[in-house]
Amino acid sequence: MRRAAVRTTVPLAVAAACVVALMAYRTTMPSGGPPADAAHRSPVPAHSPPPTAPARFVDVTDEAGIEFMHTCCVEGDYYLPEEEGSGGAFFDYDNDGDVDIYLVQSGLIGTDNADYRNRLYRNDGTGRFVDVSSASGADVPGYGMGCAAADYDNDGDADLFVTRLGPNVLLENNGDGTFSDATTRAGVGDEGFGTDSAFFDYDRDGLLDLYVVNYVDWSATREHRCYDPGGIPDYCSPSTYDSPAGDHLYRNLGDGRFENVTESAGIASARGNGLGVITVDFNGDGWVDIYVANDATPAFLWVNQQDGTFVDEALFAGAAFNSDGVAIAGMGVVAEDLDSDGDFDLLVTNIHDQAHLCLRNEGGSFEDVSHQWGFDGWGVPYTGFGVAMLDQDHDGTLEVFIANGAVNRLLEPLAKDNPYGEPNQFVRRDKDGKYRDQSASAGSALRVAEMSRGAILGDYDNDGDLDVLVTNNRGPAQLLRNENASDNAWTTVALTAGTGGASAINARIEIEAAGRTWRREVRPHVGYLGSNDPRVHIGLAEAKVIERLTVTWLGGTRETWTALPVNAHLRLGQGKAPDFRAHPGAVPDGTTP
Amino acid sequence: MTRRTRGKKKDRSAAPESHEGPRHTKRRRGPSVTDVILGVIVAAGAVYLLWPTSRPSWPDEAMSVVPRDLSVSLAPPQPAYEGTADGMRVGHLDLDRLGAWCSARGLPPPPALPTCEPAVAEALTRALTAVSAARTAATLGTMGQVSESLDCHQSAEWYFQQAQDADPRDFRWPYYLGCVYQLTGRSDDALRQFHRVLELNAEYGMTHARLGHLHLESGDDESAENSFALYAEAVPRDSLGDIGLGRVALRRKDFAGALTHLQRAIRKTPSDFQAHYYLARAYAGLGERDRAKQHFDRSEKLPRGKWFKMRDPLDQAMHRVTGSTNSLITEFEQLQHSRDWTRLTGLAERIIEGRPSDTTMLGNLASLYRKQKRFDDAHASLDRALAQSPESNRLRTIRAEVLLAQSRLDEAIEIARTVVKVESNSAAAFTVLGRARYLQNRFAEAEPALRRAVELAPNDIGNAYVLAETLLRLGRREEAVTWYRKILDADPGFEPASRRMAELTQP
Repeated sequence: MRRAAVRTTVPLAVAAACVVALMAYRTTMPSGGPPADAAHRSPVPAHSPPPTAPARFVDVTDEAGIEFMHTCCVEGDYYLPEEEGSGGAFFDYDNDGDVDIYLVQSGLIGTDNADYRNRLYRNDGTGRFVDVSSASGADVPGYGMGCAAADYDNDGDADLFVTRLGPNVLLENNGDGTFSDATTRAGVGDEGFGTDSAFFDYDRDGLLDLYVVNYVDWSATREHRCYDPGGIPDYCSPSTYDSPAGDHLYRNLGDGRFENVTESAGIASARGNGLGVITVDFNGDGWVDIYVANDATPAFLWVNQQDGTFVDEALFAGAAFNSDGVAIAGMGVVAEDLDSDGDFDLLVTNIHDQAHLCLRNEGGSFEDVSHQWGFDGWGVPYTGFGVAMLDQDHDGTLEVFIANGAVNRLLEPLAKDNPYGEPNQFVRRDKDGKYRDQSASAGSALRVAEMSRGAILGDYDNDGDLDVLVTNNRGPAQLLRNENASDNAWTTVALTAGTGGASAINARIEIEAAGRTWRREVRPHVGYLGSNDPRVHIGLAEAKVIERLTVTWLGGTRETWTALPVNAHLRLGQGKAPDFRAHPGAVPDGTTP
Repeated sequence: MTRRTRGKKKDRSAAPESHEGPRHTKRRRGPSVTDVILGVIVAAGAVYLLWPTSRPSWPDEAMSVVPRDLSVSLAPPQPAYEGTADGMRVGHLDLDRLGAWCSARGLPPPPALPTCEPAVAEALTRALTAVSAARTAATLGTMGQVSESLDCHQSAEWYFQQAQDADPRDFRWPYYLGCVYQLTGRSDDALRQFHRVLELNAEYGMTHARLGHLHLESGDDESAENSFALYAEAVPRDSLGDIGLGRVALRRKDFAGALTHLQRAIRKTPSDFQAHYYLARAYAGLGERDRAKQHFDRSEKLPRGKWFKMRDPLDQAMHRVTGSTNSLITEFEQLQHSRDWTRLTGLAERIIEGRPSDTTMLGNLASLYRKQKRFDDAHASLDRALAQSPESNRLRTIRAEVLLAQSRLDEAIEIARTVVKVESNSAAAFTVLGRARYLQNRFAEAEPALRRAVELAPNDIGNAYVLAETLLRLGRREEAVTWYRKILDADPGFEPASRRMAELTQP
């Protein structure tokens, strides 16, 4: 009994002494709570990269002269459009051989947004950008969402189409560094809640037509009040509105005008909460089809009927839902030939708690291979929007860059500094064919938690590798330079079709070199709300020379070039001799530029 | 620029071990006077140490509503409360202090909830206090449940792991861990946990269903088939096992076999969107495009939702633990097809108490009042909702439905027409239009609206019946009979249609 009393009393006495000592200490401690680094002592530690890992991407935004802060919202409003935008483009508006940057601004819903304008940055060729927004006339205001850049009028320079909450805008490149608003004449000022858009030639007449995705039939007076799991107001899911919007298809008439063929082409027969679009000839019939990633409504697969009409075959082709029969929260979309069978497979980004959707194309019908190909674990905690496939190290295999950012407030403790911020991800394919997260070794730029939306690819410094422009909702745009340290070979291919130098969007490129074959398509309008460098970039691994490069132009004509140099920016015109610019010091022996 | 570090994997070596627990509960004698005095000193010191050095800046009146039981018994920094202009009560948590409190005890950081509804703040504080007092499987597990119900998967994982360590014989903790892993895409970890669950308790059917799903995802069709068969055996009334077996057959391109499983699934749960979806895929595989289209359409019109959660009592228990409005909404959603209007109304009213501006729930409440002929209440609820969302077509359609139920037909038609002008795919608005015109004996005008309603909502047999009646009154007996037949094909027990068929087909 005595020993028991000692067992109890002694610890209590010690505790009391400790308490008194701590009380005394506390009187000398500064008020204001725990030290700022308290979170670092958490039993759930932050995941940090090995200290020796080489950075694959470096944030060069400041040194490149990009100063763009996206503005979108008033705290407490929780208007649906506030969380969707915005995007941007890598495109060479002044035809000087390097890509410039266009960034779409949003603003404040319910105002004229005169103070919130899109920005155009001219690449001066040294890796720095100069803000030429106001002189160019491309600095249109309005609640912007995304953009697509392409030469719609075949005059040799790239024009811009900007989607907005409200009327969209077509900016015609005047060829002298300025843009004119051609919306009214072109008839493409759709009033809906525009998101993604794509130029493509669905009727193979040599003129670029335009597909415009709309999200939800929304207005501020139709807004609802929704709540997070803690019971506090937050953004609503698009399903809350039960009001999916219809997309628009515009046919280019060739005289600066477009005809709205949404009804006659059959596109009006379905509505969805559309966010991303991609144009691909999925079934290999030589006519371009359309896939639309819808958010919580079935995806569309508009199969080109070769007569100016489309039929949505998504249900029968297995592309409408994931393997659970669920309409995923489809956001961004890319298509590449991931299984090297000659057709293009799809990768669609998705909301947290669901795997990104990877659909293997089997000649026009699709199978959900998200889990078999490893598009599950690493992406599930985050909400993916922008998606880009690139060969970062030129080893001949495509990696994936995903721009993440939540749509609902995150309650996980590590996110408390930015309740919607999530880190972006860089994913590589392992030898077993599965994609795995390699963000930890991709550089500190990928540990920044922002509400990212666009992941736009372009070789802004013309060093032969692809850099990434990340657009962030309510955050700064980020230019991430690819720090590729490999000696692998590469090429970029810029195509012009027809005698007039029309855009070659959806032309296919097949390269044979060093016993391997690579297939790509000219398709700048992929991902989410953005427009990539129109040059097709291919990592060529150990190749010393491109033995054969075959282009299948839209319409089926094929053209082949042989013995082309690697490590060079190639320009190939239909029926013309190749023209190429080698990267300084990078042309291997045995080839003559 | 806001920055945070990435962190999904937890370092178990850094995790504190559970030192407390049962041994503290096994005292063999009462406390001595010395113990009591020292205990008071310790307690007073602890209160002093934990009490905020500077009070939060919330107004005094907001602080005055701290529940008495919490203020007396809870150790972590207390939540404070305020009322908002729309009548909502909001709890404030001092996250810095709470974070420090957790850190000092080796607990994961609390959820990032600077503000939340009172029930959540209280559940969180209560659960943390309980863990601090005694690290038993129950207290740790409860905190895991609270964390997971707030989508804080990392914290939930840590607590469930600790709960499992504290009581390795309780199947619930590996089950919850498995659920967290499954939800966060860690399939291999989830598989391990669910197999462990089966070792502890093979009776809990959902384990088989979850295993089946994981096997299916990983491409292990044989194991998936086995798991789904076990689920079908364990829970014979539910369709999930049959759906899973159908999916396995589809993967093997055994379309005829899939048909058998999926038709059985639909007999068990006619309104399961997955069953119709996979049945459609089976028909498509067999080249029966029309039948496939029919089931695709049905699938699309059926409510989706999280099919595991709807069937999983343990998952539901987890979400109930906070007593939050979210948990009430989950309960509401699960009951939505029950036709228990009184209970649903009670739930909706409680939800609105917590969230007076929830326009979706105000609309649901109006519909429930309509079903009980409480028309004044229905209009009052809609007035509140439309004041916030005046152009909501959903709310306007519900208004039209209430007016139709009151036989205020012209008013109902006027609103429904406004809705279909801007939303040409609103089955509910076309239903109001068609039925109101039918009731006004304007059959020629009713027909196109009803046809559109049936096209948009093919499962609504009531609309098909009104359409058939309309055709009959228009003198188009043959067409009407065709529709009655269609109705009876879909639901042989639909009495008005069988009565009418008998009348029409008798010589």
